Amino acid sequence: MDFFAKAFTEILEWITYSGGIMPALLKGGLVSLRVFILTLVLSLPLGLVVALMRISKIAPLKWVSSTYIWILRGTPLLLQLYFVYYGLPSMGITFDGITSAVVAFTLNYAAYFAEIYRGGIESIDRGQYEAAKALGFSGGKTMWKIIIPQTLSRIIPPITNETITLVKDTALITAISVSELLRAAKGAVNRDLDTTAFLLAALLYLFFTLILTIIFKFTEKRCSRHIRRES
Amino acid sequence: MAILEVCGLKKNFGSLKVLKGIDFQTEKGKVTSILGPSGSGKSTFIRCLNRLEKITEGTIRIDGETLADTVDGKVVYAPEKEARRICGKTGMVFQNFNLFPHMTVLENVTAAPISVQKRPAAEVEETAMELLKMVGLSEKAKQYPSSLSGGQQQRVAIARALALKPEILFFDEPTSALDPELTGEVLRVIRDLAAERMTMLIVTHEIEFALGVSDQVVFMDGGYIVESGTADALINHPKNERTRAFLNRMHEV
Ligand SMILES: Nc1ncnc2c1ncn2[C@@H]1O[C@H](COP(=O)(O)OP(=O)(O)OP(=O)(O)O)[C@@H](O)[C@H]1O
Ligand SMILES: [Mg+2]
Repeated sequence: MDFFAKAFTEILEWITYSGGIMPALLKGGLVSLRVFILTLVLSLPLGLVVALMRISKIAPLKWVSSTYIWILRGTPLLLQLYFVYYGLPSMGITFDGITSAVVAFTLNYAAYFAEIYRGGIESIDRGQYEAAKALGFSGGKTMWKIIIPQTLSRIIPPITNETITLVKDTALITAISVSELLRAAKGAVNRDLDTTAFLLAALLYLFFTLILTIIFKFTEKRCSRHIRRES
Repeated sequence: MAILEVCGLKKNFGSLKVLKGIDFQTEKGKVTSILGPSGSGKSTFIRCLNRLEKITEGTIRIDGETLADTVDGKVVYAPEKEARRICGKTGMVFQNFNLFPHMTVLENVTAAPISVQKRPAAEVEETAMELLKMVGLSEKAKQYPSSLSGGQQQRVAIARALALKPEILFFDEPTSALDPELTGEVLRVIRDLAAERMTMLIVTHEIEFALGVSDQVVFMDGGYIVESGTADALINHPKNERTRAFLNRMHEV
């Protein structure tokens, strides 16, 4: 009896403690969420621009875009973050922590998204371009109405993966002293000498990636209505 | 009046000379079949007519308007917008249908009239439904191409090309990708169009069909038109040795 009473009090204490540190964690979580959303909203279209440059017939555009992709994918994201936060000020460009994070992440993720888009666009059969041309579609309309819509069902799975990586990558910005979720958790752990905050942070990340997975699954289904299910 | 006029058409792929000087013309309401062995340049020829291939030399005139001309040995195309408008008078049906898989059958037919010709959606949809009825597929309007048989897909492709109200329709082996039992339904649609005096240029290996439907038959070999004439003259009394050899081979199959 005594044992259960003790366990009960301990659980109660743990819940009270968790409730106590939760506001600080959520506040950090909101910062992470903001960086995440801004990065996604900016890098998805930027990636498309980079991809279209990469597959264009104009040599300088191709060259600029391949170099861009090579550099951004070939160096660590953390290094790029340091470069924007610590390096750019010496060239007279200074951003606050959150802006630096959004700039670095956007540039980095655009490179990855560009390669995903390019793969999708290049997987479309040449006959689709020919049919569009024979029907009088201009180059731009062919891309928007014929080619890109067909790539959606193929690019959503890899985009989902990148996006989930992005959720976790937001933890990197603790390195430039932005109080996001991980930093908030670490603060609580250091102060209270109790690792509960790490567990709660993990749960928040998991919750968030779960929501994302559900959203993308739904979108993928909608975008592949035209594909016949083999069953 | 000639609806399509081709003079001295040459096409090279790099150093490979595929078309070596084609002269051809056809009038409104005429059906022309193009026969010839594999690799003789039949597909290349009709692909040149709607800019799927850029020509190396020669002149192409469609409905009296110059799409491409050769001036001082250099090919000059009409400006992009002009060229697109002139090619808009042509329609093309491909061997592999090339329907847009992400669009329903109806959307496949209406997409170009709405977004290229800027015609009102209601009118376009009405026309599209009539065309689908004509090819016998009105009840498939809301389905996606992947749920259709090859023959049905090709009939949709024909409706799609017709929706733009072209002056002349090109077919590149419209039945070659189909199972034998499905070719009939596609050939029937083409025969109906011929009966309605649709101007058509058809690359085909279906000799019997070509004989029945064509006003003019053209035999291509090695990048040239080696013989042309009425279906009966060319198929039953070929003058050219190569034509004869080709027809004999086709009859054996
Ligand atoms: N894009 C290309 N690049 C290089 N060579 C090509 C290209 N397209 C066609 N050719 C070549 O041109 C020649 C004629 O090809 P084409 O497809 O016009 O022949 P065809 O008469 O339609 O033959 P088939 O009956 O097999 O369809 C062939 O030797 C082919 O290899
Ligand atoms: Mg061919």
